[in-house]
Amino acid sequence: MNKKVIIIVLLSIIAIGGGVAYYMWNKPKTNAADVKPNYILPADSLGAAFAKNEDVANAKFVKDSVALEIQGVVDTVFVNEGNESVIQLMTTTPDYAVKCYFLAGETVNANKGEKVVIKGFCTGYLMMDGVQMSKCALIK
Amino acid sequence: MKKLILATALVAISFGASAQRYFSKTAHIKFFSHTSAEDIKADNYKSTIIIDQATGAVQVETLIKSFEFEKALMQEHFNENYLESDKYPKANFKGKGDFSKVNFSADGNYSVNVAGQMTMHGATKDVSAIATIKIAGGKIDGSTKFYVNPRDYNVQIPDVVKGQISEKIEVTVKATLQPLK
Repeated sequence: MNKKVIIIVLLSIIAIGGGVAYYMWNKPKTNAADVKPNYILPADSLGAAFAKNEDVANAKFVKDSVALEIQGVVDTVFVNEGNESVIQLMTTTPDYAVKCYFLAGETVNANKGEKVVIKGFCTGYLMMDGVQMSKCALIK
Repeated sequence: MKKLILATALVAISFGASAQRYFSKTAHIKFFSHTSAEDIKADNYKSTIIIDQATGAVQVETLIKSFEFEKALMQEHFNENYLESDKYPKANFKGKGDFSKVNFSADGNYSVNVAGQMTMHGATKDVSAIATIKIAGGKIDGSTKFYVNPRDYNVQIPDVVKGQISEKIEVTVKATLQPLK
């Protein structure tokens, strides 16, 4: 009787462990739609923060645990070679535009000149290009 | 003598007009790790490259969090455990290549030796590679391939997964370059 119980318990643990491992291995990529933002700010302020001091801005905004909600005006919308939709937001600092990348395959509906609110995670700044955001979700 | 000065000045002006800078904001950087246990690849289509033909300077920048893996879990491990992208968000290469022989305004294929230093995960190492430049119908495509050892960049790989990550990771860079006006 005891042996049976032990075997059932062991098999249950193996099955649950295997199920969790399988789920973790295959868990889908998710965007920032359901994440509570740590900072809410205009695109212009984000660009200006990186223009002022990239290291300080990295330390503040470039964290897996830090989500941003950005308000801005759409400059361009395009899909890159990786099939990622991109919304570039206007900023007043040259070379410090904010580029919001969506998960590959996700489509976005936005037009130049529209005011939008986008949630996502900041990945940093690249020369000549601007501040990049990933896993973005168009809130409105 | 006046004619010689004039001719020299004209050559200098024409060289100055043709030798310029070329760039891409959508360079594709791919890395590929092959072991008998597993193949791992990641793609980043949002890197920047700038080439200055006159000085030969080459600069590449890429954000670590922009590498996309097939599996979300792999991407998490890459960022959190190996490349520590919260702490080291950017990798870059600064080097030089002899682009003086490249005629960017006519069709042709060129091989250019590029050498410099790559900084990643807080470590800087010398890197050299042969870059290929193909010019066809006004389109300028550049590409190169080289190999890196994660240990050279102080990337700590736990013993339990050592057999799954190569010590010779293939890095491929491809970009369509445009003149910087």
